[in-house]
Amino acid sequence: MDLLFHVHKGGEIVNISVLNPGLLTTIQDLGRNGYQKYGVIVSGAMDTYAMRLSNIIVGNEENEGVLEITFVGPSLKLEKGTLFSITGADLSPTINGKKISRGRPVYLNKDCILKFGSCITGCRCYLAVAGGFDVPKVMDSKSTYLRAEFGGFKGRALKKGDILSIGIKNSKSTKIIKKLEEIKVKDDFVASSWYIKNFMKQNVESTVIRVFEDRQFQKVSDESIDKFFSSKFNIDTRSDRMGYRLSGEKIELKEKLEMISEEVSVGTIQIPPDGNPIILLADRQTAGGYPKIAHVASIDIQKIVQLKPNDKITFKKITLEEAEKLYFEREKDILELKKSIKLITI
Amino acid sequence: MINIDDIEKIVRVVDKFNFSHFEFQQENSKIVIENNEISKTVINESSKAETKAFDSKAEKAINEEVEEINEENVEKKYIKAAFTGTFYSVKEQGGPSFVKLYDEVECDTVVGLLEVMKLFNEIESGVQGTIIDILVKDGEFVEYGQPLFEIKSK
Amino acid sequence: MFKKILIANRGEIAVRIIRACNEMGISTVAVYSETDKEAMHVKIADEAYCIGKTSVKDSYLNVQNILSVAMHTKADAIHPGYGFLSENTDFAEICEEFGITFIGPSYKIISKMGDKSNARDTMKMVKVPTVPGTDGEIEDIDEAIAIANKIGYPVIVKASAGGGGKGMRVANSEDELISSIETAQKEAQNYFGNPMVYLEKYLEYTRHVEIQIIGDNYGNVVHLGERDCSIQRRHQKLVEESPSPALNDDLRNNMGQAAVNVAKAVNYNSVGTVEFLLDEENNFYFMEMNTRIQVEHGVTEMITGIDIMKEQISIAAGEKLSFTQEDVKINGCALECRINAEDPAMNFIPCPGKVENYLSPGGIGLRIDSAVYPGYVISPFYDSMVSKVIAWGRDREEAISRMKRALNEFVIDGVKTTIPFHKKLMDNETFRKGNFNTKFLEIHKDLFEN
Repeated sequence: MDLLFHVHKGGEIVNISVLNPGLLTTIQDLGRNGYQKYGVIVSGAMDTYAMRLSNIIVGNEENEGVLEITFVGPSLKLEKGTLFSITGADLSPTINGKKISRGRPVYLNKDCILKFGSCITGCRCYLAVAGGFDVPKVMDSKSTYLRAEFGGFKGRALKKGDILSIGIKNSKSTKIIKKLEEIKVKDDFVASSWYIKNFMKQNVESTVIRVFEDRQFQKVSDESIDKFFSSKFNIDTRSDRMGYRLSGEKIELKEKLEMISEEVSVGTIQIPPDGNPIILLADRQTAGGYPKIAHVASIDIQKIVQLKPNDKITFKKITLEEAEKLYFEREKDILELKKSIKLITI
Repeated sequence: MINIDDIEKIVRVVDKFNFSHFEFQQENSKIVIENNEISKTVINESSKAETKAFDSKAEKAINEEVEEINEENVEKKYIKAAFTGTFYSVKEQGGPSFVKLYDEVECDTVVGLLEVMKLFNEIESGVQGTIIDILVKDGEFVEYGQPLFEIKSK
Repeated sequence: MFKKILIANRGEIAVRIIRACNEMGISTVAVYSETDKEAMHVKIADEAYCIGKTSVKDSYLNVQNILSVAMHTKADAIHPGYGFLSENTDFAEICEEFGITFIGPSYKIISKMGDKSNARDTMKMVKVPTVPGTDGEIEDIDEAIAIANKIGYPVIVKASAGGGGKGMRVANSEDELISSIETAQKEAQNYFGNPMVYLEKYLEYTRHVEIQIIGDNYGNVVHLGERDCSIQRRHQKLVEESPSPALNDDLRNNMGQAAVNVAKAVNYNSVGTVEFLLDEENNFYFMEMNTRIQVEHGVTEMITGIDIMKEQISIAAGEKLSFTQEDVKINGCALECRINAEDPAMNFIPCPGKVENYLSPGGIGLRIDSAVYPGYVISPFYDSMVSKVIAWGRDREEAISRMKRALNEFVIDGVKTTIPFHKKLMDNETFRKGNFNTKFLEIHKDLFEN
């Protein structure tokens, strides 16, 4: 006598095996918040918009850990029963050699190999897996703090031979899988016909980045302000997760300034002594001693982090209010997208 | 009276053969087409059916073309909407269309997008052939099953 | 008040909703499957959009396409009718998230009442009698055996998430109980995706008597009397009537009050029906609550004069109930025969096809709700309902004689219908006496044969 009582709908536990780690593949979530006062940086995904969407698409919480993949993608073995999505840059992902599209949920009917190829647009893409990455949280976050070697997967970028275990899928994810299973496909994998547009078209010439004044804006010389808003800046090769260094016109202050370190955040544009602006990003230090000329509107961070060395940018001045308005609009859009995904599962 | 279907057929023919001047009269209506531009004047006049072409070599070709369009045994297929939502003919706002009139398409050619509640779906042709008519505009709301493109299939 | 309502349904109920909207000056949006292109509800709505292929799953349950139309047409509300999405908690919730009013109770209430074993717990809380049974779902077999012994055999195992007669098994002894539980669980898992079951005493000789209730958003709840729906075949209702021949005023008041208590306990804010089982000693037991408008609502409308559909729409728009319990007066007797395109002589097999000739009856005391017209093709993909014939009389005898007249006048050519069965029923002695229970059709199989 074998009676069925309540069946736990967690589903199977799956793993990801790293066959080839790619250039820089790390686990990131939305960062370590509340610890800067202890000198611990925030880290987290560079393109939080793409990262949040990748989680939403597979039914995860927005803040769940994902793989941030930079320039050259990894080669991963994904197991049967994995539900994943890829957002952000187009690094030519393929499953068992077949091209797969970004911005949609993909469910595997068999064990498969996920590979990446040439960098078509952007440079950072995000791989979210339903159930999230089963790594311990360090100070409330799964983000990898590379320099300090903690968080994420053993505090480092992925290496060949690593095995990542995936957590249990939640009910949203199982509903998404149920819908995908209705598309009776004999392939190794099934992807939804719908997708979310997330990647913004990039101008070949130069990308316009909207900024508003920051604290030391008035300390910058008038000619430099003009140069700042009229010239093209080049993304320097010495750009990384800490920040993007720009080269081009030098920005000068009205007079030499001795500053006590102040707070900085994602998008703060500093003017170091050499006059080449630095845009601070995810792995920035907890405080900065350079003058802050302007601040990138949150909504344009996703543009910056997808640029590669030698890409060009120009700055456009907007007000803080305008930046906030744009930010709220995008948050509204994200809420709408979440509702739409919920709708799919009914 | 010349009806809109006839006008479309005539315009297609004229466009294809690049006439500098073309006149067509039938009963109460007359069409005059000048300089390849699709600026036509339809004038109501009473006269017998008459076709004038300034390039006599092309006259025969026109008749053949019109006949071909009128033929019943041409395989005409439609690409229909698979959802009820908004049709987009372009990938990005202000960008180029996926396809144009008379483009050749394969079964898996993406001819447009259908957005349903903020989620996008690529519309694949499903048919191999030539696009002979585009029945919807960019941004138009379409119903399930609504014909979007007319394809002349091989 | 709403400016525009989208009707997420088809057939006669869609027509019913559109009629109410027309009277209220609300514009209507119909949605339809490819097969329903010529359907009546499509023809009479102000706007109509095709939302999918034939199958119900691709069309009338296609929430993406339905909401897409609602957003595009700027509909303020969606009326789900009965069946389809009317008791889908997720759909009700998502409508709210998109700012569209779902015409029905709030999704939390649907969820609460939709879980049958949970609903029983609510009944206990308001001291509404329930059929003796387990407290909540069966967690282990020993408990089940103990309770079955306590309440006495026969017992019935029912699915928590169930309905429509599925996931139910009767057990007459302890041996049968174990296999009944197993079978019911398997069936429940297959049909509803949830294997949880509960136990109740199996009452064999009962009448199915339901109370129509209406509640608004302000805590006002009234009942509109009962409907006796004991004439059923395989848990499908064929005939409904009001008042019930089995009820006297006291019993009516008690059951009505019990139903109102149930509704008040959950802050019920729409139209709904509380179903009871009435045994031979006139004890009533709560069976389940339906959180939607029902097929047979017209029977109650005929004897009370209240337009339940318009009331439901007003309540959803935030208005107060337009009458009190004192205002509700039961007048006369109404009887409804569901005419389906089925052959009663062949086990009620569906007979879809083209209705060549259709002439509905008329005259005093008749109401015909239908979406059929001459030339209309009844599709095999949806329910086989042709028409609801409701006859009213000053007493039951008059109602029956009017129904007979109506059935004799009704012309439906091209498809077989259940009219011959209903005609025979109207002449049946037991039926005319009003002395029947849910076993009636099992016993009187002669009514089916030709």
